Amino acid sequence: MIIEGFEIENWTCIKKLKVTGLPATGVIVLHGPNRTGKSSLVQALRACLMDNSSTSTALKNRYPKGSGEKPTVSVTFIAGGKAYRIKKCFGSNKSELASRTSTGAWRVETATAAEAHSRVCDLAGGNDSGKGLHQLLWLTQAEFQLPDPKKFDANVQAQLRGILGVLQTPLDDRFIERVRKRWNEWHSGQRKAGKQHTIKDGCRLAQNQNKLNSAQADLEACESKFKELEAQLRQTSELEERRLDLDRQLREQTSEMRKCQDERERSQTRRAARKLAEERFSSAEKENAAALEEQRQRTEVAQRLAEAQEAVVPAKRSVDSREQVAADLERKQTQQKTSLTQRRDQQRALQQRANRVTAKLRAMDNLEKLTAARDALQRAQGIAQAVATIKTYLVQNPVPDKKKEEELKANRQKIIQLQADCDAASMMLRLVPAEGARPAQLALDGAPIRLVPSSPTPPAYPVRRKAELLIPDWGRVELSRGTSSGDLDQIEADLRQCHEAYSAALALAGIAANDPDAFEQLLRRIAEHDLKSNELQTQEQELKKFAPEGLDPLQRKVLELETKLKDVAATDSDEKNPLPDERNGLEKLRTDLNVGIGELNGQIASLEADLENLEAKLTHGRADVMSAKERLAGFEATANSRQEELGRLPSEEQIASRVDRAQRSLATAGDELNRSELTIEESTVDERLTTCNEAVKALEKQIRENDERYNRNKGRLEGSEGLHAERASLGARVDELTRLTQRESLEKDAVDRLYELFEECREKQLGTLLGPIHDRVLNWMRVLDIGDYKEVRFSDSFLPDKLVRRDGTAEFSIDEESTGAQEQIGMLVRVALGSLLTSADEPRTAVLDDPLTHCDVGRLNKMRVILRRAAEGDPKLNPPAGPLQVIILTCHPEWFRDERATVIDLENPEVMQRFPE
Amino acid sequence: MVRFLHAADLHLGLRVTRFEADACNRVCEARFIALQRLRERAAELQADFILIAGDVFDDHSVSRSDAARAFPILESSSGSCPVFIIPGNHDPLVPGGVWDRDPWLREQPHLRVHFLRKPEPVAVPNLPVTIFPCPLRQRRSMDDPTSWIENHPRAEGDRTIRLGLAHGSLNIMPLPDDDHVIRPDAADRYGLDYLALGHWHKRLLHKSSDGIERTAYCGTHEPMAFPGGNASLSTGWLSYSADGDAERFQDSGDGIALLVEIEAPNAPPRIEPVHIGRLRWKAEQQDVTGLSLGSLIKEYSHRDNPELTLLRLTLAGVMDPQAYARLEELRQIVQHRYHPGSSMDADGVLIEPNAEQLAEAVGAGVLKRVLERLKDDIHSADPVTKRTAEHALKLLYRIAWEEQPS
Repeated sequence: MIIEGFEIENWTCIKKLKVTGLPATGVIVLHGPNRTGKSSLVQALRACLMDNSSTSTALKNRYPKGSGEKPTVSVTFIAGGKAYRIKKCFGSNKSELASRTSTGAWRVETATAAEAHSRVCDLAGGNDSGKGLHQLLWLTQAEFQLPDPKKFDANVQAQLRGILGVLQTPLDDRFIERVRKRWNEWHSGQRKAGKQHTIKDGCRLAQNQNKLNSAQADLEACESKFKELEAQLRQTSELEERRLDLDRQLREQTSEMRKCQDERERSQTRRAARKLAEERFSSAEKENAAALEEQRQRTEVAQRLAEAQEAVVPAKRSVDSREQVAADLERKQTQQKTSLTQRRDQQRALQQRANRVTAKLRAMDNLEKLTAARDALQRAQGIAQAVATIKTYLVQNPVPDKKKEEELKANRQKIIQLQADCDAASMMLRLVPAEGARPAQLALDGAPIRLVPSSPTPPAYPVRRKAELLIPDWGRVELSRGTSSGDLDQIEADLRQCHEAYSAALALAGIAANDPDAFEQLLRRIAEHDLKSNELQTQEQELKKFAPEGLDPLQRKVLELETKLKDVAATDSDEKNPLPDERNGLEKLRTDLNVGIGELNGQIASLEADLENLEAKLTHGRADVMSAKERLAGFEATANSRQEELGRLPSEEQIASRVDRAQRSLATAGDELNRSELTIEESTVDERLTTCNEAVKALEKQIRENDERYNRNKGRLEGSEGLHAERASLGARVDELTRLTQRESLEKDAVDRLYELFEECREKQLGTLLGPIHDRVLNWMRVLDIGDYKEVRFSDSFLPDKLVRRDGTAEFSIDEESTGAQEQIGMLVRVALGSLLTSADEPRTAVLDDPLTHCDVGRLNKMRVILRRAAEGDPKLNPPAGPLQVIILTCHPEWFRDERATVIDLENPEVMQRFPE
Repeated sequence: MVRFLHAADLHLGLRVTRFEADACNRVCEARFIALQRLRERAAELQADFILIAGDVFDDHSVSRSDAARAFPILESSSGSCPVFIIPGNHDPLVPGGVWDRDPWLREQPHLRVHFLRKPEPVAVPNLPVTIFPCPLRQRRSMDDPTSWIENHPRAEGDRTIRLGLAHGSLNIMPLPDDDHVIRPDAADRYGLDYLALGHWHKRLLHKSSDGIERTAYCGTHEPMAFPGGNASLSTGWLSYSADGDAERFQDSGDGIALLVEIEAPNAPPRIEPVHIGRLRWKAEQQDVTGLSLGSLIKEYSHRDNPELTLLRLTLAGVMDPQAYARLEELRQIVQHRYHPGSSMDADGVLIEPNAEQLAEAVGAGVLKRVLERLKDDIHSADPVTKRTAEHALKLLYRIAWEEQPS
């Protein structure tokens, strides 16, 4: 279908619009600025040709506002080589479809709204301008993306399939649908190439597999039990054989035991006699051994006694000789001790005299020290007295410190200054009395009233605030300042403050502030104070020299020396041997005495060493004596013990007699023993019987154990009843499930393979059949310089799916491209596919409302050429591209206008009239 | 003259697994029915007694119900002949085994059932017959179970008929050493008039040195394997012999016993097979190349007693897709008219449509290419790929055929 012309009245803002004589192919540009009514125009065309019957009430919002008129749209179009005109008066049942006869007249086909709508839809290609080919070629404003492949009209796809070739036959469709359905019995979602698809839970195969696993586990457990039973079967067989063997052995052993018992009974008397003889012989042997042992013991004891007695004599001699040596040493020790005592007495006498000499010399020294100490004490006491006097003065005459002093001086200066300022600010009351006038009385600034003295010079009084003058015979004169005196108040306040500070500072120094010389007094005192302070410092330094730690140490030293002198006088009391009084004589005597003491000390040391040596020897000698005595005592004790031991044993005669008797008894018993000798059988019968008994018991035990194991196995085997049936049942189940699983797995694999092959083959076929479309779109993309792609992959819905980079390294979805590129690719695909569905006999209309808004100027220029060529069609292509009637509605006519385009200005009142806004 | 039936290897409580549960139960049930028939045939043939040469039960641990059910069938009614039974390698005389349980544990003798527990001569009541039973106590043994008979040679002037009753492998071919191997001249050597053997499921008569057949395996009273079976026809039954799949364990599929008549001591026995079995087991292969599927369906639809025939039908050859699509009809016949457990295997059938059929079946679209690719897969060296492709091809034809416009 192509549009030849249209006429619109009363459609939203459009009062009247008439376009006629549109070319069947090529680009038609309808332009006008924004709000001209371009989109409304498209909506009117859609409504008239496809979307709405004239009776539709859905278009009320399209009725012009403020006008009672109903919209009327009339479109003249060509379909199937025949011209038609559809006219719909919306909001009424007035519709008319007419066809143009060969004479150019219009013949009404139908005037029924429903039928007219139905027929025009058929001619236009559907009753929905959003479906069918219109989905590709009728773009709404700002629509730049291609349709969603899932929503892409199936009829269009079918038409494309019809043109591009047999891509997928209906049989293929049904087949793959069946395969998909089967495939989804085992898998979820959609099959994806190269992906390993897992079996979904709950499908029959999964259920069977689970059942099979479970049954296999049960069967395995059952088979394990069966194998265990088989092992027990073998074991039971062995136990039975073993039981037979044990029975045989038991019979043999029992027989042997009975033989032994018979034999034992037969040899009973002989074995008793033999036993008695053995007992007797044994007894005789024991007695003989005891007698001989006793004899040997007596001999040994006697011998040891003799040895002990022989050892006592030399021990006694040893004791005597060692005692003699010790006595000699004791004597020598006594002599040495006497000599040592004498020397020590001499030394002590000399030492006492030397001490007296030393004490006397020390007393002389102390006397000299005492004299000096007394002088120092006296001097220090004088200085201390002077210091105390100065300090008393300083305390009694305090002065301010330097800072206060400076502040006071500054204050004084400020008072003077303020006083001057105050005087300057005062009024001067000069009184000049008349001659003979009585003296007047004056009260100044609140002071008591007083007489004004008479003076040759008229007195002048400064008046600060108020002056009262009582003039006799005249009256009272008052002179006052105003309530606020300005600077004078401030000066007075400062002056009061300074006076207060001045009085306080002087009060600290004990000086009355009202004394006119107070400040001079203070200055003099400060000078005096400084002098006294210096003197005090000098005296204190002097005192420090004589008594650095005060007077008390000096006094204690004097007392101490005095005491020492008294003590020395008391010690020197040897009247017989008086000491010299001169220092020289005393020192000589001290030297002599020290020499004598030294000689005596040497002698004493030598004697002490000798004495120590003697004592060591004596100690050793005494130890030797003790040792010898102990040894002697030991020998004597041993001899006594042996003597007592010997006394306790029988006599030699008694022992000899006992030995003799025992040997005779032994000989008799030996003879008897020889006579009662047993045969080997007789002697071993008991052992053999015991062995047999033990063997029988062991065999019985083994038989019991064997029987226990046998019975245990028997019990287990009894418990296996039904195991075979269970095995059979489980085996059957496993086999059945295995069969089912294998069969279904094979089925699943086969379906999967069919699905896979179908997809592969279809892909391949798709690539082959869509080649022309692909090539055309890709060429245009290269013209537009969109990306660097070597391939555009189309899906089976004929829409592009992926873009493949030129080097094949990466794939991109269309969405990954820029908005402008998406719009341009979309436009290319639309016109490529659209032109496939048209033919020279049946061109199609493409209506693009405000297209390519995301395009730059460069691409727009190229796109204009592409659109023009696409609109012209190309019969040489395979399959051929049909022509298109491309109607572009835009506010930028310059984008699409060229020498071949039909351009219609909607602002032209001959074309369109709008309702006033 | 004595006349008796020789049976063996009843394998009651048979362990078969390669059928669905219902079929397994029916196969097992058939063995009891056949046992009842054995009893009936003995009465019909006026047999003096029945010898059962071992393996009455498939295992010593069969269920109580199987063990208990067999006894009254063998005991049968008054007037029936006695039955002499020995344990075989499947049901050896082991403590706690089936023979140690009621009703088999009851004190001997029963009225008619004689379970022979010991290897010692047993005189058949009221007949000049001595049976030399050789009961087995183990699954496998390297001992000859008949060797003890050597200690009981025929006495001078003994006019009794001496019958050996044993279970084992006659040493006439390479055998596992522990398969209870019996010397081939046992009958001669022990002076037996007939040696009734069990263990091998295939009927076999063995000649003695004088050329007379005195040693015999009777086969099974009810089939338990598909004749000529291979692994694909396995039932899941396992012999306890080391070579359990050997050909000697393959029965004829009919179910038989031997009727034996012996006139007098040393006289040659007359041996005849007697059909006992309830089911017939058949494994058949059909090459469908060039065959009319209709005739094939007709053939299998009109066979006698299909409900008593356990059929394994294996098809091979080449078919066209339309015929292949009809194979399902044949499968339905096999599965539903024949005894449960019957099946048809058409995996070996190849589909080769002609050009017209091919075009009709797959059209000119994607399916055509899929078909070409699958044909490539079929020639793959990888067996999994090949098998998958074969199945996928059949699936493709089936779906395509079903999706053809009607």
